[in-house]
Amino acid sequence: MAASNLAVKQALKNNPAPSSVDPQEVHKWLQDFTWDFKEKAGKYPTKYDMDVNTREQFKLTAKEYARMESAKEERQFGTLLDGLDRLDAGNKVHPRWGEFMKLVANFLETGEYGALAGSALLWDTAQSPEQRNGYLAQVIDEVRHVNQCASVSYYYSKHYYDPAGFTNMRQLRAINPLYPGVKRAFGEGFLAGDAVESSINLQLVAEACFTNPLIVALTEWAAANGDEITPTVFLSIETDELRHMANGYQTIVSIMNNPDTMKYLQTDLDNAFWTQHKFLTPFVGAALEYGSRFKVEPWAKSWNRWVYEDWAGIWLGRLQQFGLKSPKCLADAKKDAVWAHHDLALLAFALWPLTGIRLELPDRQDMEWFEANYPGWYEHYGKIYEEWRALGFEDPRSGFSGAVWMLQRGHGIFIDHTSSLPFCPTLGKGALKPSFLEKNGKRFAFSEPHGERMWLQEPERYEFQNFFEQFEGWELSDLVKAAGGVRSDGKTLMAQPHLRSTDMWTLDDLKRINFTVPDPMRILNWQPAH
Amino acid sequence: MSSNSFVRGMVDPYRQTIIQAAIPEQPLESKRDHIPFAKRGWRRLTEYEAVMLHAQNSVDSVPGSQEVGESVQKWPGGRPNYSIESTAVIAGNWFYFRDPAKRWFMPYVKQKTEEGQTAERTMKSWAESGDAGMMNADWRNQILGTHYGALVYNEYGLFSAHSTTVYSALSDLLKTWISEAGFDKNDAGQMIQMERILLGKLFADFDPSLAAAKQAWMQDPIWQPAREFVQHIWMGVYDWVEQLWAIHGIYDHIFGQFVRREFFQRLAGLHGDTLTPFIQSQALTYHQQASDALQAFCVKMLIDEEPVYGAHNRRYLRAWTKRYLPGTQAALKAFLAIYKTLPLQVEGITCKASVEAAVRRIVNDWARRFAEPIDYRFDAEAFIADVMQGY
Ligand SMILES: [Fe+2]
Ligand SMILES: [Fe+2]
Repeated sequence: MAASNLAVKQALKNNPAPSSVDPQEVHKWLQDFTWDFKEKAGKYPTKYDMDVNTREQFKLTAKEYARMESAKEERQFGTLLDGLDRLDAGNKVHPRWGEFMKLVANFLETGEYGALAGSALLWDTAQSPEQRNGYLAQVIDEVRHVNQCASVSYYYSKHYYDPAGFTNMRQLRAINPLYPGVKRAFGEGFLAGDAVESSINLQLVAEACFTNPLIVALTEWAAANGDEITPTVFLSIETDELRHMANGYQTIVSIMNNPDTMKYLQTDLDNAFWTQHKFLTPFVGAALEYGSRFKVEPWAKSWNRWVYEDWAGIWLGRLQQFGLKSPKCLADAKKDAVWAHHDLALLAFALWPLTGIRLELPDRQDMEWFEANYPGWYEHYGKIYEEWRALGFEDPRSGFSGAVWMLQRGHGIFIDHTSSLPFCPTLGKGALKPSFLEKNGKRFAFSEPHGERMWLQEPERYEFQNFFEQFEGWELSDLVKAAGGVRSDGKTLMAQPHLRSTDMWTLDDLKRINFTVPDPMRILNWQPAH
Repeated sequence: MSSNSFVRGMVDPYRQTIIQAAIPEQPLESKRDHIPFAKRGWRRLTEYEAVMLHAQNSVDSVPGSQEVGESVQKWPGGRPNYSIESTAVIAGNWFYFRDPAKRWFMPYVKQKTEEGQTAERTMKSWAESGDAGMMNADWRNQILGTHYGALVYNEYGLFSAHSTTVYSALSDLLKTWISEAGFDKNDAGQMIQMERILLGKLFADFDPSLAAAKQAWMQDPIWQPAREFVQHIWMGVYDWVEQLWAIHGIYDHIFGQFVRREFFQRLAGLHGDTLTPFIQSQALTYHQQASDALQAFCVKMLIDEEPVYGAHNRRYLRAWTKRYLPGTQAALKAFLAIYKTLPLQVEGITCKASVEAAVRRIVNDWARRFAEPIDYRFDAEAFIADVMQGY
């Protein structure tokens, strides 16, 4: 017997004169709420064919939804504002972690915001009232999640010993070379395109595949490093995700009625996986391992279990009946899961003044952990960090910059045009196979063939100025100042290459680097060696 | 959970020693103002603003945005999301909007939860304490059985029309308000059906199914102009501000308010129905909140406090008013035929003069809230006279 009937029976039993209506009884009528008319379609129609009869499995009415969610909100804010306040939680967090949270909370906020718009797109395109109702609930959930990610920043800005960056990351991120990568994967990958393609990016990949490694791993690493704020909020976010994953599954179920459109599905899945992986894998890995004093499970291992075994194996296995196979790029992603976050961390250190946060180079203790878990790490990255430290990486009087060091040695930093993330062709150990292509007199860099193929097929979807083109010619300290990256004393930077309260870098120290943003595609005229 | 067990750094004395050693003695920054770069809607930054304002990863072509540059991935064909071409009105700062009710997620669901709990208790006591028995059977079976059900479609259609307005809205606080307004419309439709299900449980002769309601919505002349309006606003209009103005500023403020308040809420009592007015009072609250926010958006932000484009925007809002008023007028005119089908006719309530007074109340309120602020001149008496021909 269906759960809804059981609920009705139970209600009738409790109330011999039936005087209440279970939300499930209302939901039962939802499919009858719509009607047909000539113009009816999605304003943003999909190339797939979404079945008007698709059901939705959580069956929440608006009021029931509100009841569930406000209970969660009360618990969460009760913990935050009552429990954690009393424990002085903001001042129990290791600074390495606290600093990375400035980026993590903000970047995920962007993801939630993209999810909000993407779910609204699906609400338009889907024709089944139950499905629309489910996507609508997700729209409202994502409003919640934006508010929650923001609450982490807001809480930190009130209670943590260095609010700079928490207060203004929504502005400061404009000069962060990593941020366009977030925009591409989340800010646009979730919503700028066919609704089903958006659903695959958002629900089938980002949520079904990456939520677990992201939220579960992130909250463990947070707690290990003294942060109970993030777990309080993020574990509460996680409770909504099951519905979102189910929405993604139902999207696929709803398009199965038309075998003609199935030919698109594998390509959309492959592209979506690569798009999301390309940002999430390195970023989360770098945040966990470089933003922590106390380590938990190596990212490559968590990734392998959640992404490779659970998602690619079990979750996608459920979709095999529809002819879906695991993405061809999975093997390259697996290689990235070992090295890409180390590559990204190197660039973050090299470009630290633009990140807006205080970073600390790995010390001896970290290096041992990295080498033990990523054999070969020390020879490649460890030695670079040791050399940087010796050259004055942390010293405000040194005029040293990792980026300048790299450029002077021919290690160009480029923007991968599809993912919009920076990469270094000569120092990266991830799945790199750089190429440089020309179109309409302009040159584009690609770090690997999957993104390159996406661009080749639809170049008009990636017409934009990248980070270097935008800021070419800007002197570094001017750029940081313009983006609001200076503390209230008017000179000390928000970003720092160490965690101490002494020897903090100022605008003048930054000027000493004498760095003007170049466009490497023009000055280096770099060609692949092979 | 991961295979590793881990130590909680906050409560582990060893780890806290290390952590405290790494924490500076004094805070590194004394300024804790959140989003200091953002314009405040009230004297101090509100929680409502802190948790949403400027969350949108925008593009610098959207005025008021904090971003530099543009969106990275476009739609096939090259169109970007968040493009100002999505509407004809222009704002010097799209991030200027504030919902007067300051509803971010938490207060929003809290309000709805309270309403849900009140509804549950009210329905229970209404069903058990004998109130239900007072209801006129013809009112129940004809009006609630058919026309109240047809109202579900009206609310559902308007709910559906919000999807692309959420998608296209150009800033975060706008998206928040519009998703909440859409969610409220969905809720309003569901609550009508909830009431009808309860009636089905209490009265053997009441059919809670939507078959007759849908037929009325599709075929009964009473609903046809309304249905056409809803269909058009749902599928035929691409400008999202135009949609919002047409829905909350015109159609729902005239036709919707009349149907909910002047018809169902007022006449239910007359027929011994004390439940419908309660359920509709929630929908009236939702409309009130939507129209307050719409005023804050279209009148305050786009005209009164818009330094450059106010006149331009006023022209568009007037043109849209002119475009959507006739359809709304037709919907209301057709709806008035419903009075002929009422089981009870009571002088002073259902008579022509009273209905005309009801129409006048609605029209005057509309004019005050939405026509006058944009200097839209319209002939209220002609409007009322025409509508009354439907009576
Ligand atoms: Fe989310
Ligand atoms: Fe989600």
